[in-house]
Amino acid sequence: MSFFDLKGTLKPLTALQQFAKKPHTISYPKETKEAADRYRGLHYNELDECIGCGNCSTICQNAAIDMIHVEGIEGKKGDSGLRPRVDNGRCCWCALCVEVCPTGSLSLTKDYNYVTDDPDTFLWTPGVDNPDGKNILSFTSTRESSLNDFDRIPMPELEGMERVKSFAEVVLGYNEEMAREEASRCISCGICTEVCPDHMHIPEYINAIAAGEDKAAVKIIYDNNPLPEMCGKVCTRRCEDVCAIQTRGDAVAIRWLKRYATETAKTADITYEIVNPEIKESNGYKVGIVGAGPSGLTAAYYLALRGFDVTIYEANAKAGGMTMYGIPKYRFPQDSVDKQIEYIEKIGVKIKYNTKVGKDISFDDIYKKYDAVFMGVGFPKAWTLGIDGEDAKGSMQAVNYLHEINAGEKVEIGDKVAVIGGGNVAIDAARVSARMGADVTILYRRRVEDMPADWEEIEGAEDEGIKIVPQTIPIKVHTDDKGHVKSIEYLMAEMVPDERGGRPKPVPIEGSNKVLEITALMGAIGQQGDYSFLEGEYEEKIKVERGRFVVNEKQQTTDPKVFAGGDAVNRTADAISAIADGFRACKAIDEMLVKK
Amino acid sequence: MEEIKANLIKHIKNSFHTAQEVDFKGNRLDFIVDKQCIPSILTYLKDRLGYIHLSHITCVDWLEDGEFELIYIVWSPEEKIKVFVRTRIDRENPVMPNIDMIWPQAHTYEREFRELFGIQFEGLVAPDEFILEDWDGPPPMRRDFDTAAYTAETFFERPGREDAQDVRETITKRSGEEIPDFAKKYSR
Amino acid sequence: MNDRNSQKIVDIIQNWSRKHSIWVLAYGTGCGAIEIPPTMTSRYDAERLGVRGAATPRQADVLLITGYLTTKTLKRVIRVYEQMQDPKYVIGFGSCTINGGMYYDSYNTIKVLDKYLPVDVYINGCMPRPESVLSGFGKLQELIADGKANGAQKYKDNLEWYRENQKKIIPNWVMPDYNW
Repeated sequence: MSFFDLKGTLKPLTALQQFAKKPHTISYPKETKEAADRYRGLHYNELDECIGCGNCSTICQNAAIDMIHVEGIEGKKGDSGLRPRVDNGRCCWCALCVEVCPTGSLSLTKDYNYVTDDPDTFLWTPGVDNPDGKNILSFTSTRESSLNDFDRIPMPELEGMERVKSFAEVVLGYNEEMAREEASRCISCGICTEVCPDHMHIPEYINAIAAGEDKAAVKIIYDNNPLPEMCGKVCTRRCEDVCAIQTRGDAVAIRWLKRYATETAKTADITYEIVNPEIKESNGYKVGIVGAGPSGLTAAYYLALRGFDVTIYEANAKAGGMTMYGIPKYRFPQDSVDKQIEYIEKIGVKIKYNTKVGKDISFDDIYKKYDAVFMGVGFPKAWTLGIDGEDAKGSMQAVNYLHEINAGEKVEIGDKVAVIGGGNVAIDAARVSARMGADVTILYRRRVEDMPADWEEIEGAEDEGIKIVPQTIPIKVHTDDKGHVKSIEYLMAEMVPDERGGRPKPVPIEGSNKVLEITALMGAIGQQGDYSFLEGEYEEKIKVERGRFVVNEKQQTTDPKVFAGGDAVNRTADAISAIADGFRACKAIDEMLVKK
Repeated sequence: MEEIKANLIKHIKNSFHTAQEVDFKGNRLDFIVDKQCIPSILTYLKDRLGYIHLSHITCVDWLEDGEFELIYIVWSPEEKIKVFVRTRIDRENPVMPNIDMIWPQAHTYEREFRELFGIQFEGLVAPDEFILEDWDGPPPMRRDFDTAAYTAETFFERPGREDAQDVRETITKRSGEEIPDFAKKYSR
Repeated sequence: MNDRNSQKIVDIIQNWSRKHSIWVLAYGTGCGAIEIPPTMTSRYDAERLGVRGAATPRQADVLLITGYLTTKTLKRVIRVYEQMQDPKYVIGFGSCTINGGMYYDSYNTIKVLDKYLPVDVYINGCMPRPESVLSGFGKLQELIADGKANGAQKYKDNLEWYRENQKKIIPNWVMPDYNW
């Protein structure tokens, strides 16, 4: 070994190569490390997207989230008006709240740095206190990553062309497994209940179904709706439009779940056993009800439960009103109607069939005989089309046609039918005609997307081979020598935007005349009330405005003893509103007579 | 594996007539026995069958049945099988035979059960306090011990959150819906 | 020379020097103690800010309550805090020290730290990242420089109130009385 080892002497100098390197240390606070892409920092809430369902507050394992009123945000239909506030003295940034947020409005940001000497400043309302959080979102909820189940369990149905062969029910109903799975998608926020005219206890009965307690579900449903089977099958289900899940996926099938629950109680006896209604002792008051439609039946049922002596006067041979005679049997089978009426009669409601008020019994008699009167008379008369040749043979009203078919009568319609209108009645008449073997065309004056009928009904009609011709304005009905309809002449229309901001108006195009060969014509452009039974002084006493009774919020007409509900009162023209009217009127009558 | 299990069941059943076996998939096998059998069955497993390793002792509170279930998990490094020896004891008067002479480490578990579940072990020699200090409430791991109520009573909570609203209540107040009492238990 | 003015100058110098030598007691109480090693080591290198560990309470300036504090540990923490010499400060780490955090319904952890010890700075997080911890020390330095970090004084003034709260949790009070 030499005395002078050059290699060994220079070796330490290799350390100099570290000289040019950037130091490993982060010179905080001059520079900060960027948080990871999915970093879970402080919350941010998109206040406009949030609907205040409170799912975040429920899921929070640390009880860190409160729902509070935020200034400037008012509750409306489909929005509770509450917003989450996070207690950062509880939160552990697990982000479960983000993952269960049905709207995806709640997210976490990259911002995590907060230091203070005041411990009372850790309550933050995301979105209000950090409006800039929008730009640094990191942990967001997507449709895929969300823990909510956004896809509805499909409802089994009959095949399109299979359906038209008979009046068998198209919708087959959920089985138990499907119902449990569908029910467990519900987050039980209850936002839907506000939209339901009857305010049914939707989260409660869906939770009962999810828990496997169908009997409890039926009992909850019967708490304020005595016709749930009908609602389960044909309700307009506005509740599903505001469902919290619907903001990013398919709404919970509230209607089908109600249908499932009511179908578990197979007969009226079983229903009675499950619901086990508490019938109060007779209080001596008598109530007369005109019309056994949904509103009349509802009022009668709940009045009977409260100890009233109730009698319904019904013009037809069967109760149910429009749900019996207006809805075709493939949507609402006869068995279901009978079961519900049987159940309501079991409670002690008397129904006098084939008794038309104004003909078989005068309104005056009813008014004098009873302590209170409820009128659920509905809209029995159809609007006429108002075109030439409308009164020819083979031209009829869709409502009357449905009535006769449902009453079991035969109606000659031939093999080519045109239905005019775009509401549920038009589609029903068309689908019934298709089942009668006819080739059906629907003529509607606006576009398909403007049709007031349910989209499910429209799709169902299309599946069954029914043609829908939009933007058509019928002008004349041609008749043959025997005075029978032969063809209908119509004009095509174009949509002109309304200057006043309303929906676009159809304007006929001159010279675009077309002729359609038909054997029957059905008008379904709406119905109106028939108040001819109100004679003499009652015409004065009970005010009618624009074709509807004038009522206060308690369903009381201008005569304090007389209440009214259903189509003859409200503009929504659906059964659930009628049921709500009946329920409200029942409470008001109870209050007026018993609790005064 | 199945063979070893079958053999094991045969051996145990021969010696302990009341033992019931529950077979699980994979390398797990359960025996349900009376509490008096516990020391003898564990000794037998350890000395005669080679289950020399006590993995764990755990306790389940079956509040509805009024019973505690004690589970002894032993492991044989040769046979690679976990044997769960399970027994149920009365919840009102929970007394168990002590096994710390078989495995000294059971001592720690037993002290823990005594403190957190209130189970007494016959002949266990150990100081009264183990993890908890100055504890005067009921054994805290029992399911009927209401943690939330105890916490609210003992500790402070930072004020400022009193204005919290319930979503369902807010909506019912606005719409006038009346939820009947029998339905309330299904509310969120 | 005016006495008040000279006191002011002394205070400024004192606070300036205190600010730059924050010695932290290495006593981790909860899960947050794991955030201390990265804060102290080369990545974040807290020592360049004058923050470094101290071996015993009597040498330390800052007591870190790193997360939840069980009733059992509270007893030790109080003893440690009372042994520390002035000036002394307390930093509360994370949710648990503010309103209970995820242990909000646990039977054996305290929820609101400032009922038992005077806290000077709170750091948000569960647990706070090293950057947040550094911001916490930064905030503490600011408060010291402004002369606002007077938790210890508050503790002395309200000792009875603090004792009452502490004794509610610790029924068996066998603690020495330190000479204040």
